[in-house]
Amino acid sequence: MPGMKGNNKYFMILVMLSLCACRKGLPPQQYVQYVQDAKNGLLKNVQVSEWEYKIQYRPAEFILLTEGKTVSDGKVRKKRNEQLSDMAWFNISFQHIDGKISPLRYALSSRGEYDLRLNYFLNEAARSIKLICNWKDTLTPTSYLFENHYNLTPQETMVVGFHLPSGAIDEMQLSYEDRIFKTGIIKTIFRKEDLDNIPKLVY
Amino acid sequence: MSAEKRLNMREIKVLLICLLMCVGTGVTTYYAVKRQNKKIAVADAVRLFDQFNMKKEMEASAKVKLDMLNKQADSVGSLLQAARAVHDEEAEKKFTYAYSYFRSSFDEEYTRSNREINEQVWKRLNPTVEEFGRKMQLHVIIGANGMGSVLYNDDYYDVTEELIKYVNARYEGKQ
Repeated sequence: MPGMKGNNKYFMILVMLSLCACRKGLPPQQYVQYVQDAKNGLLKNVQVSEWEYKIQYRPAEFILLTEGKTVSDGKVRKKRNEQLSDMAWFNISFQHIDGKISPLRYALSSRGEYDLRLNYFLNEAARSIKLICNWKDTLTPTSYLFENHYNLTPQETMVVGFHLPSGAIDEMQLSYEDRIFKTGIIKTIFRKEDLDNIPKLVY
Repeated sequence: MSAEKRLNMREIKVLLICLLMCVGTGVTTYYAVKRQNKKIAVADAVRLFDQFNMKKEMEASAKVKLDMLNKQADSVGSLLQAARAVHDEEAEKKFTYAYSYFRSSFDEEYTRSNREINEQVWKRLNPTVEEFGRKMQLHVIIGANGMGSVLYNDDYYDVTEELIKYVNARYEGKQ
């Protein structure tokens, strides 16, 4: 009997520890806010001279939510989740600090220069982006899309996806070399604790 | 009564002199301490530039293209020598033109990439050095570059190593 008492004590400690270790759950709206809040380490802001870069890590659930796929979609949601799993997705947005004009049109000297910029972001920028996982695997994008806003917004966005190697991801470092606005190489780290702290999505 | 008054006046004068002396000593001490607290640091600008990771990476990336252009020029150079050896004038003329084209392409690319790397690296370094200075509460950071701006400095003022570590950590996103 005294042994049983001791076992119960250990069991209680184990339960309490596992409760503490559990990731918190958040409803959709708060989940989106959490991911978009720079304080939580999933959104990084980098300013280099007169250009601002925002690098947003996008967990699969976040993408599903922003695409409007909720629990009611059932099969569609499951299928989409499968497509997104095993990948790390990022949005790289950039804009001029005055925020008045699309970067593609900023300080243009000719129409040719605009075409050159557009062509770079449509076809070549993916080669300037890489992801280093756990400080050993250097990944190149397996998916890349330039969200063309047709000069309607002062911000442009590149969507990149990397196929992750098997095993746990501790830390990721995303690097991007801007060859159009000549701001050098931009690097940001997504830390293990921030990735581990991503809440569960609860409906 | 007047004697008492005179005494009081004398006392007041003494007190005033004492007060003035105290204020004078205080002001002098304040400025002496302030002068001592003026923090000046020296950083080797050339070492800082050379050991900045972004510069190394950009140079490595530019080297790939430069190596390719150099190899092309070398290949055409070999063909030109071969044409000269067999006295093929037409081929010699063609390869001379091609060789000068590849050489000038290499030179242009070398100059362009060097200029771009310099510009981009200093564009990144300048605000980071400023940030470092503020963080370390420095008043002046003097950039020693071997051009005679700093003739001598001992280790006491040298912050080059700390600065290199700081700019690299900022660049890698670690800070």
